[in-house]
Amino acid sequence: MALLKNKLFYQILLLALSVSLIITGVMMKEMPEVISNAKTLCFWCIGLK
Amino acid sequence: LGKIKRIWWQISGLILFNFPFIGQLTLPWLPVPVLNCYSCPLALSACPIGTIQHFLVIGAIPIFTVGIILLFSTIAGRFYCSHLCPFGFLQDLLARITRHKVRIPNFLGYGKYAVLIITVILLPPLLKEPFFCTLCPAGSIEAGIPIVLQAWFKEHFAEPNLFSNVGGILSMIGWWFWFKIALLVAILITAVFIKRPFCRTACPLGALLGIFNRISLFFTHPGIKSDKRNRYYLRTCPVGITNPRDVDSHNCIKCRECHHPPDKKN
Repeated sequence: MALLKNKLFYQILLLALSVSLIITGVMMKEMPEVISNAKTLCFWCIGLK
Repeated sequence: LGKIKRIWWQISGLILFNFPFIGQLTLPWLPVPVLNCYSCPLALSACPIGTIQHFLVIGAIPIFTVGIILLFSTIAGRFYCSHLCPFGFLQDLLARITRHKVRIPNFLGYGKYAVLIITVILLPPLLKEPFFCTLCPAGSIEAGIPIVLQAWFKEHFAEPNLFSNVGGILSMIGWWFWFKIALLVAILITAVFIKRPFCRTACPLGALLGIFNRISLFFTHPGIKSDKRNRYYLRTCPVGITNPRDVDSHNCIKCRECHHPPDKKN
């Protein structure tokens, strides 16, 4: 129970979760999709719907 | 780091995320923890909210982007909102125009979660378009206005070019563009009288970063104790927090201005 009240426990848990999500995303080859989306002009952002 | 004035952090953030000398989208793979539109002609990297919506539109789960946001959130919570976000900086500058401020009820702070769930998570896969981007005021000021102005100047003052698409952009301007500009103007006018209205009530990125605000690794405030050393000076809080127990809540942007007594002139 003391562990569950410890802030450091949650910080380590969240760090581990975020790093594992990033690694999973890289392994699933999400990066090219992120890059191509970023390089495509977003007409919705400009307001040209 | 704490001794550097926040305005210098904000100016650095503005330059860092829109660095005109190293070219557009130098780091397109990195969703940054600030609301900085990736369609801005000077943008350095990807917008996390736009990236999340794009993945939901194509029927995929944005695992990498969620991981990056979670990492940023765990490291410093909403510190980026107060120190690096260009749109937050603009609202802070507008707030300097007048000292007469209107208070808003606390429950409006949960509006950003409604915006996150409805416009970022639910509507994009249903409508097959990044719905939040169609309303985003940061997109209007960083991408909409510069790109349309650029196209307008090119059409009126540059040499005619058969392969240029500027005429295409100008012909696409419709009522939605003007609606988006009106929304931006409304938010900016509101920012003069209400401290950071967009960040507090509607920013989906602030909602995401704020989830773990209380347990972030850095920049958390010391807890409230009876001794005076942990007293907070909330009169100048840029997000209008009045209760010391709300420091480090999802509304707190970790500007740390409450650590110092306000200037007597204020």
